[in-house]
Amino acid sequence: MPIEVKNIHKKLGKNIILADASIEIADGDRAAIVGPTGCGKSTFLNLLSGLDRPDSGMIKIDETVITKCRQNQLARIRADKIGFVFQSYYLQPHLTVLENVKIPSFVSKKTTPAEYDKRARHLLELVGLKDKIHAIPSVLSGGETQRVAIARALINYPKYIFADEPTGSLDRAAAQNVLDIITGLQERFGCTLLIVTHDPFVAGQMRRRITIDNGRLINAD
Amino acid sequence: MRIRHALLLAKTKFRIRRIRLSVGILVSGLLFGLAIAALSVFANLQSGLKPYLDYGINSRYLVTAQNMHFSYGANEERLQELALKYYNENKAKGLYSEEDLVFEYPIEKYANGETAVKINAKATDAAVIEIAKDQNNYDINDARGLAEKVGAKYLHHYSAYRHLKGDGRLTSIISDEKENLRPFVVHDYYDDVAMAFGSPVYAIDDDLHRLYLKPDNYAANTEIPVLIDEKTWQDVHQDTIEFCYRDAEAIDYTTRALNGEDGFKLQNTACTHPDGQKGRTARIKFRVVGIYPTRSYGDSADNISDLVHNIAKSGLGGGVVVLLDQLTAEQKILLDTFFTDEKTLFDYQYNKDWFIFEFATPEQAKQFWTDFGCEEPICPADTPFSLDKSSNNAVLMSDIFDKLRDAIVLALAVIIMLSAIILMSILNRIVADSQKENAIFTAIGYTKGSLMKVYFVYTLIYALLVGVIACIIGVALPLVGQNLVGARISEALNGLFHTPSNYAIDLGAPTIFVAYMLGCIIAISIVCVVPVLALKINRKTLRRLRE
Repeated sequence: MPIEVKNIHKKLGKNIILADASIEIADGDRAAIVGPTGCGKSTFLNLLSGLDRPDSGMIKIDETVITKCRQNQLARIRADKIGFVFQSYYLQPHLTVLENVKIPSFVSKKTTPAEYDKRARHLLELVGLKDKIHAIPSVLSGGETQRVAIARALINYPKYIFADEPTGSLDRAAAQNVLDIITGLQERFGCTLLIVTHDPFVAGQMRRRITIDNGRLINAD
Repeated sequence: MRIRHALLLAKTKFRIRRIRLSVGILVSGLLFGLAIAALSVFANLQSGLKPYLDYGINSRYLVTAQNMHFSYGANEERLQELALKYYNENKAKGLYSEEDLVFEYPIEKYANGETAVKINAKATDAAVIEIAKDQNNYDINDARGLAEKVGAKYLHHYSAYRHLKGDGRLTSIISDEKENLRPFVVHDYYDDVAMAFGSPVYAIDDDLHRLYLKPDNYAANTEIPVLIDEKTWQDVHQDTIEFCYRDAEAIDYTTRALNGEDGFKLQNTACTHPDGQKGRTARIKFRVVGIYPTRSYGDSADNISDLVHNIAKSGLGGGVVVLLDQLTAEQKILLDTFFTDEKTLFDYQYNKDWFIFEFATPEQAKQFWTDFGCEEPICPADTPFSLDKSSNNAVLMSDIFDKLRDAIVLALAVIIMLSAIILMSILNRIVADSQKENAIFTAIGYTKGSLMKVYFVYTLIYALLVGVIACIIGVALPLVGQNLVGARISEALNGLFHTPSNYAIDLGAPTIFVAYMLGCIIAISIVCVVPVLALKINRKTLRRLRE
């Protein structure tokens, strides 16, 4: 199901982030959300994930109008359908890699804990961290940490992956590695991938580019 | 979210602000531990003290369920009636149970033909009320033996034969040391009081002209301490009484008085007693040591006790002074007939129970009242010479416990408040430090409820850690206290209440307060976490993702 954004308006303080913006993102699409710093890229991602609400307009994800949902419903949607990858990883420093990957599963009831455990180990294998499942994040490199975050985002087999500057803290080589993993897993699982980035290198590897310009969403393939 | 997942996430929070957390746990644990210790010690003291107080209470009376007709045969029915009355009164107070009441008579017949009626010692505090049929063969050893046999505290024995024997005194004093009995004997009529232990005891009749003295135990010119009722004192208001001392009495008792060696001086002036008998004028100087309210003591046994207790509390040398015009006709002792007419002696019949306390020395009298938990209505509060509360151990203990309880309740309130402040401060800090983490968790699908669950689990773990420390301190402190001072406290109480040496208090006994305080700790923790989380985890937190 596509992501539909219709006529959303969002103001933060005196700044108009989005003004009557509309866009549609198809299933399985791979898009980069670009724009100058402070233009509202992360805000747009927050709106899509229900972490924030537009002042007006409609956002529909997977046939659900999230702009009309209550907080608990939005949390359920985020838990079951959206996988988040953050720039700063935000792993729990005192939990192991395996436990970190399973964190989103604690609030999801899609399957059993045993199945989640199996899934987590599989994902870690896919991201190349099979040998580090019992390690704690402090012993991992930046790239390895981000890979754990990616695996965490996929634990619930989400339909959508929202990544907010996933390579922002990495060097070029590690960034490419992470990007390859994200896109590889996106294709493998058939997710819709939205990456917020200011890096043209990253944006260039996506199929679509959505530019936020003066409150409008400009689509470019 | 499953509890084990919440537990997993909660454990990570114990690594935040570890010093503050550790201090908070230790301080809260110590405070609650002190509270548990204080409550336990208090409870153990209260319950441990009861046997001491009961011991004093049970030592109070001897029901002299005697009757005056003993020389003509024991009136068992009367004895039983009186003992039953006493028993029922004390059963109502919870001092006795049914098994304490035993009637068993005649208990033994002696070779000399005496019979004894035993009323169960515990029910009446009496030992043996020996009623001798044979007036000439009264044997104190029989009475003692019976008293020991029934395990009595006191031995009441009296001699109505004294006038026959001429010296009017009992042959021995029952004392703790010798007989392992309490050092006092209760009598129920004044002549025994007067005769028993050689203390200066006086019964003054209604016109203050009759004075029955124990002649051998006070020095010449002694001022006789007197307790007098208000009205009489207003009427009399003099400290020297001149009265007519009958020659008949003088024959019995006043050999020394005639020689001027006693506390009153017989004058050489002849006089005629109001009852017509001839005598000599005697002058006696009183020292009024107390004035009690004039009241009608009527027929009530309690009122008689009231009178007696008021008087006895004066701490006079074991003696009792009673103004007979305060008594009803039934209660008056016909001492004239007693001393002068042995045939009519036993005609007098006591209809009521009344108690008189007699001690060998003033010190013993005073000590008795410190042991005696004098309560209404036996000892009215308005007696002018009421026992000072500070010397009434039972009342003093009660006051101390009330104050202690109030202090502990106040301390507990302070402890609860302090612990709540400590916990809320810790939680505030942790939630503040976890703002970004909370935002991430929200982003990946955690609801506010899920996050609160983590913090609740965290708080419960905190509460359990506090509880463990509190329990260790709360149980250990009383035990240490018991080891250090428990024996001394027991010893002091034994001295205070004159209880046997096997009486003891255990300050360290475990009490229910351990469980109470654990529950309190958990409840406080849960209450504290709610407002903290309600304030902190809200939608503004989500905006931190942008930061």
